[in-house]
Amino acid sequence: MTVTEDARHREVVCPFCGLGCDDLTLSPAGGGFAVDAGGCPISAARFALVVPPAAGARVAGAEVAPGQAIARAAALLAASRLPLVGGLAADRAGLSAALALAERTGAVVDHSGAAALHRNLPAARETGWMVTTLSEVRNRCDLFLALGPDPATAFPRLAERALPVAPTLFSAVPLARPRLRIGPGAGAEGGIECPPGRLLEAVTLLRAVLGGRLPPSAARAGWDLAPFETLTERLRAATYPVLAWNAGAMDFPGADLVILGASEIVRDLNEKGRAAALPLGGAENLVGAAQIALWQAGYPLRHAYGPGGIEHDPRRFETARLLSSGEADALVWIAALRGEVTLPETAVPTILLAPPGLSLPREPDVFLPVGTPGIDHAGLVFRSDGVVSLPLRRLRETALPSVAQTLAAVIAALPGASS
Amino acid sequence: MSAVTALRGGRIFDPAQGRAGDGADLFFADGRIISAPHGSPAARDIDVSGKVVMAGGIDMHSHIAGGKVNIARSLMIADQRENPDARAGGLRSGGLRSGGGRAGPTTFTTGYRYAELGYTAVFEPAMVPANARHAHAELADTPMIDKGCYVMLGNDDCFLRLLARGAAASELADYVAWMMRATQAIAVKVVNPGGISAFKFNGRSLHFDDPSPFYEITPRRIVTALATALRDLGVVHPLHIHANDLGLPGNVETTLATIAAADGLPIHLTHLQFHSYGTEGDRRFSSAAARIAEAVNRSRHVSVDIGQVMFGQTVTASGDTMSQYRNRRFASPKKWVCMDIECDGGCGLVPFRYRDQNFVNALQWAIGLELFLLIEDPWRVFLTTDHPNGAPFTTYPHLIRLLMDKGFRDSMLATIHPEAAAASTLGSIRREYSLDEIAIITRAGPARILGLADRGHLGAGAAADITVLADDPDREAMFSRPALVFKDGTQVVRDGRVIASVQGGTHVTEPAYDRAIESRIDSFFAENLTVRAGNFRISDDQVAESGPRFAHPCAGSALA
Ligand SMILES: [Zn+2]
Repeated sequence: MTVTEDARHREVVCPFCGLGCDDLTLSPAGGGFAVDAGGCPISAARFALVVPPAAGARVAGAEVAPGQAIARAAALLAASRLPLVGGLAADRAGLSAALALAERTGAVVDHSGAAALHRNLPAARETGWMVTTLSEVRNRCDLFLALGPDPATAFPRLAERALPVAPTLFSAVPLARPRLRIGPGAGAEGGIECPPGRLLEAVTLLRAVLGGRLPPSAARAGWDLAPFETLTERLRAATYPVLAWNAGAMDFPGADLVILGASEIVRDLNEKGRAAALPLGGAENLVGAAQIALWQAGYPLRHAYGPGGIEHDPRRFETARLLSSGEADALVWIAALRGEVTLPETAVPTILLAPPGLSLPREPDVFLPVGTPGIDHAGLVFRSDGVVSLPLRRLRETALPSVAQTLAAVIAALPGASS
Repeated sequence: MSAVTALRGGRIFDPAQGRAGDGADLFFADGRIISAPHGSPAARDIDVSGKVVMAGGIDMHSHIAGGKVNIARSLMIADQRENPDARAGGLRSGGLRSGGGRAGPTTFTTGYRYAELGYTAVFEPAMVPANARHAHAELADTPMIDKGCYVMLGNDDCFLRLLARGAAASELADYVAWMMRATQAIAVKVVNPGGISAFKFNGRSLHFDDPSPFYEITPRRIVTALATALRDLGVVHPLHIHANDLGLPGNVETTLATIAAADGLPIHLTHLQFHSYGTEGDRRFSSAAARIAEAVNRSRHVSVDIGQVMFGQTVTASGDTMSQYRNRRFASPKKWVCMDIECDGGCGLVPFRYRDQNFVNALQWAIGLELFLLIEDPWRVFLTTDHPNGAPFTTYPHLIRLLMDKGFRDSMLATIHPEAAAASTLGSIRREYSLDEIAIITRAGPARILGLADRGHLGAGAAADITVLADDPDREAMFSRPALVFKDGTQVVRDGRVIASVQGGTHVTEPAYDRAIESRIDSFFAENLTVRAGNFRISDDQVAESGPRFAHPCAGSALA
């Protein structure tokens, strides 16, 4: 075995896109890592990130001792009436510390991807849904129907990991599993072409055809019914059709109703056969943030810690609204799992926790450098399906603290802290 | 030895030591009960004269953590809004955190509320292997109590494949042991044996001797194979069985068949109330509690918990997708979730409101109480509501009063659906539980069935997990508000309110296995699943991050 072979890391978990691939092989390359196996464009870019020589904390753009930056962050928060702890791209321990800081300072909590998560809520929380996980898809799915933009953009290894043409637990011969889509550009792949703005019509039509309730021609609004009828037959003939979507790529009005319609189609199919929904998402550990917020605070993000307890309001506690209305008067932005930092535009005092070396849209009042979970320190992140959570390892020696360590120091520096 | 605390003059109920209310002083130091110290006086004397002193409560079946509990919290948004748990002062005072919820309480609220009822250990009974890391992460955020998890096996494709190809008993045992260690479990549960898998193949029912779809294995074979594996491994807690046909009229036959199939192998039947239904009467739904109780009384290898129903709003949370899908039509409010999980298991969530004027719900309530009162040996029956399935755990004091106070019980019976009351024998049952028996079904018994040698009793060397209760003839009031609770020697509750936050430990069992199984499991994961076995397996360190990890020896079941 060569020295290079020894230095390789195997079965590494990639915490970035939410698909939770845990079969990566990495080798050290120029301070970062090259993905030798199990890679995709996202993991290749993020694992390559190096720690630059100037990686210190900053106050107003000037490098300072870490303690000074922590003290400044604590002072800004102590002076704040309503801080916002946002971004939340962090591992479990970092998220837990963020919630503790929020409770300690009476803050609002939001994740940069929460809008996507909340598009699922009418289905997930108001009616309920029938969902599945990646290993079930891999072994059972014999018809994959995606709604909206191609999920392969956000989840490059989805087909390879969940839909390989290979034998499964229940089929000795490679399982045929057609992949269909209704959405923009789907026509070229043999699916049903549909711009985002008409997805709700398409899903409603599909559900009507499936239910044998053919809408009057006026209501068909120019749709050709034939492809819907063919699709209906295929959905009925499949033993475990899976309807998937990526709410994060569905930023258009009515997307939540498209998702609800898809979920209802799955429930309809289950009256006689089996079918399941696969809501894809979870980049930057969004699913982990929602899970931890649920178990610690009882709500799936966008909640506030007030004197009377915890309040939840997806509209009121949305980052952009809180900042533009002037309600939030301090911002803690956590971006430990980001490849680029999309720091919100605001004039309020801003404390940023991010890996050093990323280009920033603006200089925050306080910059607190943190390591990347799964590279610079160990941790835990959740996968897209919300069931599987994965262990992250430390792959290199750096002096960068974690989000959890950094926020614990900020909490300890707040006035009235016991220690 | 550090400072000794003395509880002076209490009436000690410690069934494991044969003490039923005798007045005595109790001493502890360094988090452990000690014998009376010689010479030097105690550093701290607490007068508890006339008060009842018991070990900390142990809930051996309560769904408090993991993915399905989080889905329940998400569905039950009104439960959160209507039951806020603002801990004034937050981190400024004693490290308490805010939370909320009753049917789906948050982790902090779960820990605080259990402590406020005098409980010091709670076991999550339905951990799906794929979700084990999540379950332990939630439990790490659950303060005040010790915890442990039962891993769900018997619907996982790896096990079913082994069984289908006729694997030797030793290989099955190796697999079970590997799974217990990989998921950091203390026990094994089987839920609707074969039925969760069958539902994935569109099977809508699976009775005890039905061959399952695809594998063609009967629930009978799954139950006996798992019970045998656990006996062979020496795991203390017997196979924890959520039997087939949950909730179906006539399922008494399935339950009796399950007891018979064990044929002397130790088994535990969970939420027995949901499995004790006959088909008599105009409504084709009747109590079979008497037949079930008689079978349990005669079968020394069987222990049970009840899963008592209480009236009001809750949410049912189960690994049994087949039953939960069937129950979706009863959802109240009208929403429900079913999930197929990782070739491992599943989960189903159905909000539910038990109504005292509904014949079926009222009879369910009566059936649970009949079982409690007709099963004779308190060491083999444990107090549960199958939180939150029958009711939230916060109803335990009310349940204790129903068991201890026939007058109160009869007055409640008079308020339920009259035909249900008439169809039940409850009114004719005279038995009242004694404080000693309550201490058995909430403390000593659960500790014994789980193999927790230093919990559930007050003998020298035991953990100083102690509940002190004012002896109020209103037993509901008494158990609602313990005067004092100690966790590992630290006073955590005064007059029914948490005054200090502590972190409990995690109980696990470490059965031995032949390491030859590892490479086979590694390949199974790599070839068929989407997680590698190395990343599936939970390290001892993760579990030990938040509190001590207690590994228990494989000493065999107390029922053997
Ligand atoms: Zn249960």
